[in-house]
Amino acid sequence: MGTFEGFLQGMSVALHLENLLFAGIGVVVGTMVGVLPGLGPSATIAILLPLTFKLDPISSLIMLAGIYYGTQYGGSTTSILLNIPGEASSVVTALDGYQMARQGRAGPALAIAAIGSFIAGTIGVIGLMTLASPLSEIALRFGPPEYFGLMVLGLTLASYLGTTSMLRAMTMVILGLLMGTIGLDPMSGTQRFTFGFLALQDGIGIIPVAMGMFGIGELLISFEESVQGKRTIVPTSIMPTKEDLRRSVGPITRGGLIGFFVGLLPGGGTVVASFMSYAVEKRISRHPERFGTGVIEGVAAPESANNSAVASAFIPMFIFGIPSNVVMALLMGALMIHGLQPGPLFFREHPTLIWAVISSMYIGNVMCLILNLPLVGLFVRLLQVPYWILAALVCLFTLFGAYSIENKPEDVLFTVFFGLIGYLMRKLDYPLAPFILALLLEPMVERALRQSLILSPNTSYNIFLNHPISLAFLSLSALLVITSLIRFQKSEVERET
Amino acid sequence: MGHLITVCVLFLIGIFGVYQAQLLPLGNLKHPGPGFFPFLISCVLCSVALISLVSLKIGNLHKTTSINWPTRSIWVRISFSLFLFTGYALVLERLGFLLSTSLLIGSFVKIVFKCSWLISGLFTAITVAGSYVLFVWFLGVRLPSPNWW
Repeated sequence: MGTFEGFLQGMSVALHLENLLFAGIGVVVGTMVGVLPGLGPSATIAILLPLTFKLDPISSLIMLAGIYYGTQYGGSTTSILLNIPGEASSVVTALDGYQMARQGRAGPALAIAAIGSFIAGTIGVIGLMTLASPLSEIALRFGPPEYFGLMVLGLTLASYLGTTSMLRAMTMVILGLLMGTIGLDPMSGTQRFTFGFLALQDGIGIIPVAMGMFGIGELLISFEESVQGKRTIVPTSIMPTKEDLRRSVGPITRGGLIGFFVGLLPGGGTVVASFMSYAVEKRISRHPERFGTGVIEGVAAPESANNSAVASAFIPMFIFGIPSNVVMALLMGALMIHGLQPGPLFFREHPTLIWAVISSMYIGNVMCLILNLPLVGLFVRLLQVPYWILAALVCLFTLFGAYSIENKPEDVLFTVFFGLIGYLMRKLDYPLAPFILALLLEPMVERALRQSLILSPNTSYNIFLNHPISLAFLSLSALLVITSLIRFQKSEVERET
Repeated sequence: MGHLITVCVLFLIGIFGVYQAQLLPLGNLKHPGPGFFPFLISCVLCSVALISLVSLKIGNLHKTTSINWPTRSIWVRISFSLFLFTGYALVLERLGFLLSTSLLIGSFVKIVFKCSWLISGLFTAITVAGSYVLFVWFLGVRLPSPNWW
């Protein structure tokens, strides 16, 4: 099936009333969640995941994808109006967005954020549409050594691209890998770290862990934080000037492209994309000193990048079966619950699903623009919902959601346990996403390593060097580790002096 | 101090992993057994914990960023919430969805958020009824019934 035919077929599925409804629900929920500080896309998707078990897989994925890009649109609102990032990827937006709001230019900032998100989101979807099919052909040539290399790169990037200390991100990756070994050995079926508990035989499921760390962890964190009573700046106008639009063209285009390529990388994501695009704009600007004082470029670039990254992040998940970030890991979990295994054959076996999701993103982006431009004032009012209502609902959905996966009370206990771990790790400034990604990738990386050794003629590790793609991935991983070690040493020396 | 304790806990987890993994067939580099990967990862965890320990520079602990731990009253709320959630997991199948969820939500809003009896009762009733409709009618989820019913 060609790209255009695929797109048309996908559009016909996405335009079904039911799928339009779920795209709309996803976009509205996502935008609301984006507006609400704290509750991010990972937590929301984790909490709402059980609701999709009974839905058709296409509708489920359309809704969950809608939540993901909806949060990126909505995340900018509180960053700009209240200096409270609704999303981690909107932290950078707050730097200039809030300053613009203080200068009475909240309207143009919000409008450029929405327009930039729409344009860059479209760039991302076009990239996804044109690259997904050819990449799936390349993916068919991937064997265990290539997969091993790619997954090692993914794990390296997960720790390398963390927003906190790299050492801590690396620690979380290793801890996630260790947790991933719990259960039956993927090759021999031997029990590992089960200590005679039946509940541990199947390993620790990603959904209870994610729901605990993000849902319950967020709830516990929120006991300390109160956002109520803060001054709200109501925008007087939403229309940016011609000058604003002219100055935003470059940042939106560059942000869209940077976001697209960062989103492609395993371990990349919206946060890295937004930080990187802001850094690029500041570096190429003639007046870098103005960044942070309320320049429109500081809003346009990161908001465009995070939306573009959402679309491209689907490529590694669909084509290689490797989630590039924690939200993609959850979406992959949702597909697996429906008995679908993303990977090289996924494009051939389920073209309708993939094209329907891609097509729904076009529709979803338009919905996001319509929601975010005129309804800014309404979303701000969501901040006035008493927190105890939100907390009680999060608690119910998380705990019963964990139970409803397999009707196992042990899953609820896992959720509570990992909720506490997630809370402590966040207090200690250890990033959670590398842990979740490593937990998900561990069985795959171990299986790929052992399968590669079996396939190797002399059971030699040379198999990884003899396969060019595998060699390239492993070399890149080694390069990243060496670079970061040098940087770490330099920073230590600087601190000494 | 919190960072130091964390690093020590991570090191102990690594040591425990090494001990448990060597009880399994390790195999060798060319033919890794079930214990090989956990053994390797545990060793790496120990090493990373040691590197973290060195980077903390035990003598200069005061220079590290302090952790913003919550106040005693917040800890009480957190502990009580975790106690409630654990209790929910333990009684869900014995008491059934309706009763256990009512107890969970009611206690949560009344004790943790100190809402009035009237608001707690009303909110609990609406939430439980709403979630029942959502799970059973719309999503067809099989809810646990009390085993003494």
